Amino acid sequence: VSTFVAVINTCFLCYFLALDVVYATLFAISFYESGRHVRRLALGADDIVLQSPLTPPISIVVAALNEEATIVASVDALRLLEYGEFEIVVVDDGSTDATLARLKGAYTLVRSTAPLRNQLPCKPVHAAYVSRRLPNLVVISKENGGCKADAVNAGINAARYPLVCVTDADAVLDKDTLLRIVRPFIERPRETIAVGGTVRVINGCTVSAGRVTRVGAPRNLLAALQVVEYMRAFIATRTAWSRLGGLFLISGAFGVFRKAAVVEVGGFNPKAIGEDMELVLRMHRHFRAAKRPYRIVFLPDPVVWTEAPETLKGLRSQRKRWHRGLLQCLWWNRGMLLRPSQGMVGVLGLPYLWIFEAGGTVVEVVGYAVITVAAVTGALYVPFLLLFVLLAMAYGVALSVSALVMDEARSQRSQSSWDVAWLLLCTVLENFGYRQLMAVWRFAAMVEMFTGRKATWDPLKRKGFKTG
Amino acid sequence: MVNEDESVFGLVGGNDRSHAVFGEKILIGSVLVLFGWTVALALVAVWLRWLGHLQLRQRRRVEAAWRNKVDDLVLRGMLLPPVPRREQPVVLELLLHYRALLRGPEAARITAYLEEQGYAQRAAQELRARNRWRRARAADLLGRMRSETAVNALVRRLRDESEDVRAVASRSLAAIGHPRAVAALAAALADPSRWTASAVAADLVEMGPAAVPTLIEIASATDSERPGASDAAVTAVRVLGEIRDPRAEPVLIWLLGAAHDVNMRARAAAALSGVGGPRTSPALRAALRDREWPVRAQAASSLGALRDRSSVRALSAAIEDDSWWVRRNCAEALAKLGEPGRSALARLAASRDRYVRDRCLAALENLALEAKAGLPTPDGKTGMPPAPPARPHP
Repeated sequence: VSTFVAVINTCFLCYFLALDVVYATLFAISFYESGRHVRRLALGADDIVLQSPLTPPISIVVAALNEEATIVASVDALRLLEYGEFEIVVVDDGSTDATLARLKGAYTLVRSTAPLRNQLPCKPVHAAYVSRRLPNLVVISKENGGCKADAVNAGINAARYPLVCVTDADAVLDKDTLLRIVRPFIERPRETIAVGGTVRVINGCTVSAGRVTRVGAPRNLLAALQVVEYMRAFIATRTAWSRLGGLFLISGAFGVFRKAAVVEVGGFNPKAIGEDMELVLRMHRHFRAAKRPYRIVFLPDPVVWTEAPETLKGLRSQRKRWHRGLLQCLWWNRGMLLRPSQGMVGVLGLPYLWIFEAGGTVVEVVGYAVITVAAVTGALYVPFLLLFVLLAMAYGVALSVSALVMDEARSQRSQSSWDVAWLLLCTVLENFGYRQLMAVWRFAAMVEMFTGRKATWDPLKRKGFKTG
Repeated sequence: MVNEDESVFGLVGGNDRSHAVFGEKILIGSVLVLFGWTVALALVAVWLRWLGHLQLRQRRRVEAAWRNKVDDLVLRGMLLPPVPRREQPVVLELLLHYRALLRGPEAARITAYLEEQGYAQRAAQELRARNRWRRARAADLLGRMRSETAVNALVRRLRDESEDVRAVASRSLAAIGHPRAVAALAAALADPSRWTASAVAADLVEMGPAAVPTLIEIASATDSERPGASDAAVTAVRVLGEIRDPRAEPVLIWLLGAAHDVNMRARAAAALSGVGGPRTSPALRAALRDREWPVRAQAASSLGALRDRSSVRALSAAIEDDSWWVRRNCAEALAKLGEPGRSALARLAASRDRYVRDRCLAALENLALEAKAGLPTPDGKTGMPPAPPARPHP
C-alpha cells in the first residue's frame, strides 16, 4: 500500500510542479512580448497601416444563426471600423428567427444573382443580397449546415478580398482592430497565413454606436469569473505560444486568415466541433508537409468583445462543446504529436494540450476520487491535503492576478477601481466551485464523446449590449 | 486514525516521517511566497493607478501654467522663460501639439525655438542610444519637431538594426519633407523588412510629386528578363499609382508590356488606372491579351476605372476569357463605361456561354441597384457621394 500511495503522491506532485513551471514560463514570455507590442503601438503603427498603399483589403465574414437581437448592432459596429478597404459578408445560416428580416429592413437589401465561386464545400445557398445603403455589405442566406464551419465556408466563397476576417455576429470589434491585426500580413506577406487577436468579455461594458465606450466588470458573478479566465488564457499564455511558433488556436470569435491558404487546406471542417482549432492544426500540418514557410500569429492588442453566458446552462453547453472540440482535434491530429517535423506545435503545443488541457481534467477528477476513497479508508492526511489545496489555489490566484495587473498596466482600456477590485476578488472566488464545475463539465464532455453522443452548434441566447 | 506514513498527499508516502514534515514546510513556504507575490502585484496595480492619476494631474497643472507663455511664443514671438527640467517634457509636448496644427511663420518659430533650446540636439543624440525604443522615440520627436538639422541623422537611422526605428525614422523624414530625404526613402523601399517598406511607401505617397523621379528610376531599374521583380520596384510602381503623376505613364506602360514578372505587370496595369494619359488605354487594351490571367484581369479593371468608352469593344471580346476573374472584371468595367458599356452588357447577357451571361446579368443588376439607391451611375446622374472604389484584386 505504501508503494502505491507513494507513486500516486509523486505523480500528482510532479504533475502539479510541471504545470506550474509551464504556466510560469508562458506567462514570462507573454509579459515580454506584450511589452514589445505595446511599445510598437505607441510608435504610431496604426497610422502606417492606414496610410500605406501596401495594406491589403479585408473581407469580414460574420456567421449568424438566430442573432436577431444583435445582428444590426454588430453590422453597424463593423461598418464603422477604421480601415482602408473592407467588405462585410454576413452569412445567415438558416435562422428561424428574424435575423434576415432585420438585416433587410436596416440595410435595404436586394437580391443579387451574381454567381458565387464554390471554392469551399457548404450547404446550398438560397440567395445572396446586396445593400442599397452599404456598398460593402453582402448577405448570404443559406440552408442550415448544423455548424458554424459550414456558414463560414459559404462566407469565404462570397469574399472577394485576399484576407478574410472571421468573427461572430455577437462580437464587437474595437475600431482599430483591423489596423492592428493586419500588421503581420504586411510585415511578412508571403508567409503569414493566419493571425488571431484577444477576445474579451463584453458583459458589464457600455456599448455606444457599435463601440465599447466604457470598460467595466460584469456584476454577474459567472460572467466576472469568465473575465478572469479569458484574461488568463489570452493575455498570459497565447502570446507566448505565438512567440514560440506553436500557436494551436485562433479563436473562432475573431481571426484573420489568408483566403488562399484557407481554400488550399479545404476550409473549415463542418464535421469538427472545434472548427477554429481544427483549421489551425490542419494548416500547420499542411504547410509543414509541403515544407513551405508559413506563420500563424497571435497579437495581444487587436481586441474583440463578445458576450459571455450568464447562466449555468449556457456556460455548461459552451464549455462542453469546447472540450469536445479539443478532444476531437487532439485525436484527429494525433499523428503530429511529438514529431519534430511538425515543429513547435508537434513538439510542445500538442503535448501541452494532451497533458495539461485534456489530461488535466482526468487528473483533477481522479484526484477528487482518490481523495474521497482515501478519506473513506482513513488514508487521508488532512493537514497536508489542505496545504496542497491552498498551494494550488494560491498559484492560480497569483497567475490570475499577474494577468490582471499586466492588463491593467499595458492596456489602454482603463476601468474603474471598483471593477479592478471586483475582478481581484473573483480571482479568489473562482477557486470555490467554478473551477470544480469546469472540471466536472469537461469530464462529462469527455464521457459523452466516448459514448458517442452527437454535439450540436447551439449558439447562446444573447441579451444584447448595454448601450450608453 | 490516519497513518501519516501511508497517507495520500503525504509527499512521498514512505516510512520516513521527516519527509512528510519537510514536504509540509515546502508547501507552507511556497504558499507564503505566492501570497507575497499576489499581494505585491495587487499593490503594484494600486500604485500604477495612483501614479497614473498623479501624472495626469501634474501634467494638467504644468500645461495650465505654461499655455499662455507658449501662446506668446508661438503667436507673438515673445521669449519663453527658462523651463524647469522636470516640466520640460510637458512643455515639449505642448509645443509639438501646436507644431502639428500650425503652418507658416508660427510653425517655423516653434521649430527654431526647439532647435535653439537644444531639444532637437538632445533628440538627435538619443538616436544613438543603445535601447531601440529610445532611438525610436527620439526619431519620432525629431519628425514632430520638423527639424531639418536632424535629416542626416535620421537618414542614417534608415539603416538601423531595428525595423521599428527604421519605420519611425522614415515617417519623420517624410514629415520634415526635405529634398535630401527623398532618395534615402526611395532606397529604403528595398528594406528587407516589409513593415519598413510599407511605412516608407506610405511616406512617399505623402511626399507626392517630389518623390516621382526617384521612384521612376527605381521602377525602371527592373530587369525585364529576370523572373522575380524586386519588391522595391513593385512597391515603387504601387506608390506611383497612388501619387497619380502623369510623368510615370511611360515607365508604367513599358513595365506592363516588357516586365518578366507577372506581379510587376499586374501592378503596372493597376497603377496606370490612377495615372492615366493618352497612351494608357491602348496599352491596357493590349494587356487584355497578356499570357497571364492576373494581368488581363487587372487590365480590365483599370480600363473600367479610366472610363474610356473606346475600350467597350476590347472588353466585350475579353469577357469570354477562360479566367473567372477576367470575366468578372470585364463585366464590371463595362458597367462603368456608360451607355455603350451597358448596351454591350445587355447584348452579352444573351450569350450562349453561361458564365458570360451570368457575369453580365450581375453587372446589369448592380447598375440597376446603384440607380435605385441614388448612387452615381457612369453617366453621372446623381450628385450623391460615390461608393468607395474597390481596390482591383486579380
